[in-house]
Amino acid sequence: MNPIHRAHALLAISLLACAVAGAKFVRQWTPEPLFPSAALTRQGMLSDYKPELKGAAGDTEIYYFEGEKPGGTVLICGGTHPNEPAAYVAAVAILENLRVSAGRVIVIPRANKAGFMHTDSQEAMVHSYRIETPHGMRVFRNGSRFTAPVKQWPDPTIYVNPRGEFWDGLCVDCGPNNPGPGNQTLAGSDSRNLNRVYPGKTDGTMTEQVGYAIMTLIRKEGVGLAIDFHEASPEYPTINVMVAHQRAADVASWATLSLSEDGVEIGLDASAIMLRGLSHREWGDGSPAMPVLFESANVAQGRLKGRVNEEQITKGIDLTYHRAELIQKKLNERLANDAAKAIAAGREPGERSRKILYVSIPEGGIPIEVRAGRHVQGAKRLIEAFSEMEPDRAVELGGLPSYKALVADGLGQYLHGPGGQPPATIVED
Amino acid sequence: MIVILYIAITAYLVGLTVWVLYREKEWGLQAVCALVLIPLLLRLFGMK
Repeated sequence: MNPIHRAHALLAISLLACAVAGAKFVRQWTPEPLFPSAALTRQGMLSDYKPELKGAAGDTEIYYFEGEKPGGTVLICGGTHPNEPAAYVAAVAILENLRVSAGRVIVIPRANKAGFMHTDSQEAMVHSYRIETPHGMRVFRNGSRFTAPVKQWPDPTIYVNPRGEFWDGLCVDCGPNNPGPGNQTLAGSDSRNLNRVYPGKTDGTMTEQVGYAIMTLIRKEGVGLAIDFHEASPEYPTINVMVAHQRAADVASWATLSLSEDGVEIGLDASAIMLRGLSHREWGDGSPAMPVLFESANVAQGRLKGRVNEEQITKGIDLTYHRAELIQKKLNERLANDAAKAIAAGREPGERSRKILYVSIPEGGIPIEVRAGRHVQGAKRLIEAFSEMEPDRAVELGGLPSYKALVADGLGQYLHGPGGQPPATIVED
Repeated sequence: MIVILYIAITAYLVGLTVWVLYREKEWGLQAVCALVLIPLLLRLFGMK
């Protein structure tokens, strides 16, 4: 074939491949519909708190549920990291079932909306996952930990999270030992990580402006309890825990005890004062709110995961992780034996055990019902504890499924159908 | 400003690759050009 004709043909193939791949990427820019419960009183946008965000990819929906009786205000954030699916669908399940009789609940299901527009590069992640409801299949996008680079780039080589006015001037919890934000050096890509840019910056990058707007919302709406849902890989030490700001420690301790009665074993970590830019630290330092962050286990995020598929997200099944757990068990048996022999021989025992995974990954996986159920139940128990300890700011809820009901019936039972048909069953707890 | 510079660099690389694609006689190297074009075009059009 003539080289010029071949060039024409190859250029056409490139353009066609570009169009096919591009169509798939662009399809992920369209948000899937969400169907708030009938108790929704108002819907707004994040740009209501920062008009510069209007029309930007980071401008996201905010849902307000206001009770008839007065009370406090609770903020529930999902989708801070859109590659943490249970954290997102837990907020969606709350949004689609919630009723509030006293006080107010504000739900932001897609806190970093621009992170849902793409997947993590070089990870071959699935673009979406499906959850069966009694009225048909719901499809949710699986996003990235980071804001889409087509909406915010280039990244700096090293990112330093901003200090901003929420510290300089408006700081609520800034004791002499608290270094405040603005000193933490992070990877350049963390400039697109919403949970590293708090307290945000009014004239910063889009992600920093989103962080700034959420901080403004917390202060302006007088949020008393602020909840941020997350997931983490099984080898990450902060897993199946609540991370609480010191102001939220009592409420979180109470909730931990209540959750153990519900069959949800959960740890409680203190928010590190030196670890800056995260919601559980900056929300509390820059406002009077009590921030608590939840983590559940997601195999799809981990470095040990096998070939990526939808089952890792919805069923939490990953045989590579399960194998790692078996290896850890054998290794620890050997280490314990060696240590026992060393003690018997009068020698110093060496390493007695080693931690590879911080959560057990059974062969059957940790399904999204369990992971999202932990979040929904955790939020309920936190709000109950907050209402008991702060009776003047009590928030009374209804309509949310219990952890046991979610696990037994499946998450889809508590989601609207794809066309907005209501959830099939409402279980009062 | 820097974003415009990056887009200009991408556009320049697209132009250069197309130029090589048409100038090259060997089919293997032409195919490489065509492969390189795909991510460059996606970036230029702001799709990825």
